[in-house]
Amino acid sequence: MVDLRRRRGTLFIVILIVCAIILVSLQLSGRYEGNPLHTLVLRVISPPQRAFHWVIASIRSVLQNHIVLVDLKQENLRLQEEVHRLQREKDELRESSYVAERLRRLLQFKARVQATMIPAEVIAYSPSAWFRTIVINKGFRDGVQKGMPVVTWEGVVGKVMRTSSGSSIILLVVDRNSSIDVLVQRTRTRGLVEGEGGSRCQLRYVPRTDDIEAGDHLITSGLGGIFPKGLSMGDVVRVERKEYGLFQEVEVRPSADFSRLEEVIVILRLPEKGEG
Amino acid sequence: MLRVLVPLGAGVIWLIVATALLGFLPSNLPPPDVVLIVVISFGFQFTLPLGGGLAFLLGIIQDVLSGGVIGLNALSKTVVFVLTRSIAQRFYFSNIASKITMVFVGGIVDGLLVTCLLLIGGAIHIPGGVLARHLLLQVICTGLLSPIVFVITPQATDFSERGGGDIFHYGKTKTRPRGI
Repeated sequence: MVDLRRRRGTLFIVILIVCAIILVSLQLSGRYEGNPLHTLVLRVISPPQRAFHWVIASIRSVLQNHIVLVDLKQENLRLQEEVHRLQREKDELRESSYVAERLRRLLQFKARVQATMIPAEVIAYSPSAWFRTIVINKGFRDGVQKGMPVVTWEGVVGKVMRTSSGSSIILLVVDRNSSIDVLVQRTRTRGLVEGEGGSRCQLRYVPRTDDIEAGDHLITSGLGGIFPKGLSMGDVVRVERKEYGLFQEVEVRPSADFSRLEEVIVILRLPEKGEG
Repeated sequence: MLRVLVPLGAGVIWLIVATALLGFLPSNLPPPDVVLIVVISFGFQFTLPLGGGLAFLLGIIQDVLSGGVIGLNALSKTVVFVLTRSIAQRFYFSNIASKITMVFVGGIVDGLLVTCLLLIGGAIHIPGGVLARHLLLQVICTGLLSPIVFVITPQATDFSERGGGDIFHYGKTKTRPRGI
C-alpha cells in the first residue's frame, strides 16, 4: 500500500501540474481569461515595478545628462550634419508629386480624426521570451480599456491586452499573436501584418501577382475598428516570390523602435463616423 | 513562513529587476528567463513541496507579467524544478558549473514544453526552424545570465536555511554539504 505521508511531496507536485494543465487548457479553449488573477498580481507588482523603473530612469538620466555630455561636441556636429542631410531629403521629397499626394491625404486624415489620446510611460518589458509585451503606467482608472490602440509618433506600437487600475499590458505588433490589417501605401494592396516574436513582422495574404517591393511603406487600413486608418505601420524590407503558392512572403520592419520605447500614446476614443 | 517568503521574495525581486532592465537589450534577442535560473537554483536546495510550490507561484507571476496564457510557465517551471531536483539528488552535485549546465538543459525542457503546449492549443503558427533558432538563442541568453543570478541568489536562501529544518533531504534532519 502506498504511504501517502511519505509521498506527499510527489502528490503536491502532481496536484500543481494538474492545476496548471487545467488553467492552460481553459485559457487556450477560451473558456477562462484569468482577468481577476491578472488584476490582483498587477496591483501587487506594479508599485515595486514603478519604483524600480524610477531608480533606473534616474540613473539613466544622470548618465545621459552628465557623463555622456563629454561627447556633446562631436554629437552636436553629427546631429548638424544629420539635420542638413534630412533637410535636403525633405526638399527633394517635397517636389515629388507622389509625396505631395501622400501629404495631402495625411493632412486630410489628421483633420478628420479627432481622437482622444493619453500619453503613458513604459515601466516594464515582458519577462517571457514567448510573448512580446510591455507594461505602461496607465490603467482603467485613466480610461484605458482592453483593445485600445497604442501608438508613438513613429507609428503603431500595439494594443491594450490587459488592464489593472494603474497599469496595463500592451501586446506589441511584433508578438506572434498580433495581426493588423494594413495597406501598401503606394499600390493600396491589402494584407495582414503578423508578428514574428523578434524585431520583424510578416505581411501575409498578399497575392503573388500584386506589385510590392522592398522600401514600400505600410499604413493601417482602418478595418477591424481598432486602429484608425493611415497610421504608419512599417516598411517592406524583403519580398520573396516562390515558384508555387498563392501568396508572396513579405518581411516588414515596424516603424516603431521597440528597443527604445519610453513613452507611448493610448488612443482612448476614435471619433464616431461623421463626427469632427 | 520565512522559509517560503524569503526565496519567493528573492524570485519576485529578480523578476521585477529583469522586467525593468530587459528594455536595454537589443530587440532581436530573446529576453533571458530569470525565473528559470531561480527555479533551478531552488532545485538544488529545497524539498519537493516547498520548491515545487515556489516554482509554481513564480511561474504564475511570470505568466501574468508577460500577459500570456496563465499556467504555461507555472507548469513548465514546476517540471523544470522536479527535473533539476531529481538530477541533483541522483548525481549529487551542486557546484556552479553543474548549475549552469542545468540551466541549459532546463531551458531546453522549458522551451520545448511551452512550445508543445502552445502548438497543441493552436496559439502559435510558426515554422519549426524559426522556433528552434528562437529556443536556442533564449537558452544561450539565459545561460549567460545564470552565473550572476546564482552568485547573488544564495544570500537569500542561506537566510532561509537558518530559518529551519530539512532543506534538501525530505524526512532527514541533516542538511546537504555545500560545494560537492
